[in-house]
Amino acid sequence: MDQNQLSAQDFLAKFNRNEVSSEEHAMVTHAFNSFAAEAVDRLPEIAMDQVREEIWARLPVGATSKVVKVRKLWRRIGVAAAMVLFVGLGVYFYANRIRVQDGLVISAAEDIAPGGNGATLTLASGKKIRLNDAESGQLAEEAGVMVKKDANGELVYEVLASSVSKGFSNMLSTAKGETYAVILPDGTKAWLNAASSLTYSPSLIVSGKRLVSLSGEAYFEVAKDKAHPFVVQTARQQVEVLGTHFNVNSYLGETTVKTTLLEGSVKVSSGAQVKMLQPNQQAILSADGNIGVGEADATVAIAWKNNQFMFESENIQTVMRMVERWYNVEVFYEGEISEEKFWGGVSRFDKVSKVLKSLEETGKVRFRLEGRKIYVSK
Amino acid sequence: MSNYTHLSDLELTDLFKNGDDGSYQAIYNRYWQLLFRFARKLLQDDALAKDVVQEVFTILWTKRKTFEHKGPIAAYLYTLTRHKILDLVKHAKVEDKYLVHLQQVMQSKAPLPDQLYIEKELYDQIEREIQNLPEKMRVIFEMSRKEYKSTSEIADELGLSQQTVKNQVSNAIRTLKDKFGDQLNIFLIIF
Repeated sequence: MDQNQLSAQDFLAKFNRNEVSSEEHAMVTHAFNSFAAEAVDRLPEIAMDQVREEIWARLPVGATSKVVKVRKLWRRIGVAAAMVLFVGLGVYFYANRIRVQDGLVISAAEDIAPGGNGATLTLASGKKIRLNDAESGQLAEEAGVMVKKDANGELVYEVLASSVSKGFSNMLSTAKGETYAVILPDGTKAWLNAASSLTYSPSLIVSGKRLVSLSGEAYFEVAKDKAHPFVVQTARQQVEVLGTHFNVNSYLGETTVKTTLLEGSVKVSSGAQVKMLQPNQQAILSADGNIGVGEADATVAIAWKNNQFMFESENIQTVMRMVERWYNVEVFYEGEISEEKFWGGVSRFDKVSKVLKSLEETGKVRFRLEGRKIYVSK
Repeated sequence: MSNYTHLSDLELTDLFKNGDDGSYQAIYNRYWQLLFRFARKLLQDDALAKDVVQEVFTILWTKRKTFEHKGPIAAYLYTLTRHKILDLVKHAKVEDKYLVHLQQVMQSKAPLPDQLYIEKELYDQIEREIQNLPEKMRVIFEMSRKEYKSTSEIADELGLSQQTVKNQVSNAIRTLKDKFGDQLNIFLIIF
């Protein structure tokens, strides 16, 4: 760098310290604008949905305990909505065949395949590594990680504790239609659902706690370590545990954050509110900032991990958001939106037509597929 | 959130000023991508661009109880974005190119355009990214701007007639052309 550039650098530093005259301010900002006019984005395309959730998760919006307007519309109060039972899983479906006239017709060529194993690992250096079925342990030497398949055939990305400098974040992220499992350096196993990301430092420990930050949904089996509590930070709440199995659903698009406990005990907090959970209980953090605790069927909450879609009394929008994330499609609504509650489940290994046809069998909702767009009508 | 998407920027800004909590997320959903795309283009770095957007919306959040900015919220977000990019450019690979450019502007003897023009220029630069938004988002975005005319907004804000604003902008463009005639080509080559 020559002398002239150095002075530009000093000048810019002065600007950033807010120590410039209005004319100097104009000079820097005008230079910036003309620089912007010629700038061209040379970076590869990235999954914007994920970036949106990632940045949102880093905002302080969840740190407040301010209670605002209560929006009860979505709440599961005793609305006598007809409960529509919908069972996929093949057997029941075929045994109770009801033919719907003019139902969805999808040719094999148009059908959309389900998601699968895959993720992107972003290292502190900014280096990105694609993780999928094809890759082997060779990544380990390069990036301080090891990719292997465990006894159940699950893909696992394992951080080698000593490998990377401390204090810098790694991020494991899945796009729509991807899922991945990771074994963290303390032995904790985390399964990441689609369109989610998990950020953590390679050593995992931050001020005496094992800290990970989550956007989207993940299931954790936390290794026991009484000296170091395990904390899952999401945009709006914190879950703290010593060793336990639990699921956190914190998608930005959903109105609520749901934390479901399978084993052990956890402490869920948001702002000033703190709640303890027992096994088979679920904490629901609502849009108004309140945490409610109730009994829940944990198998429903972690069905995704076992490659099933399962829902219990969910509206069509919630069901379709699950479809959007797993099949990487966009969903649009035509006309009135069904207010029915849906119950049921299908395999996540099925193509999208199977899921949509099962839903259509209820007679309460209809679909049209155009490319990767699904149109929903009543 | 869907009930927010049809609000104009000004309506959204009013809700935000009045302490409506959902409006913050609505503003985020409307603007984050525009700002992110702009920042990554200027910094050529995804991680830094995320930091820019994070800081801009963190500042907006901290101002939620005291927000007093008059006029469109976009102008406020854009100015913050520029500040954050300039603050982070020292960490970006493009720093040298930016400094060379700044040096040339510093050495140039031509008069600078006025502040009004410079802000309009920033507006135009960032809003070029609207065309890069996904179709659905772009349509909603443009709907939110239906009643928004930037020239009249600026005129109202500064108490000038619209004609004065237009004249100022075109004068400034002329100045700029005289001044940067050759340099603009240089930048096309080095950047």
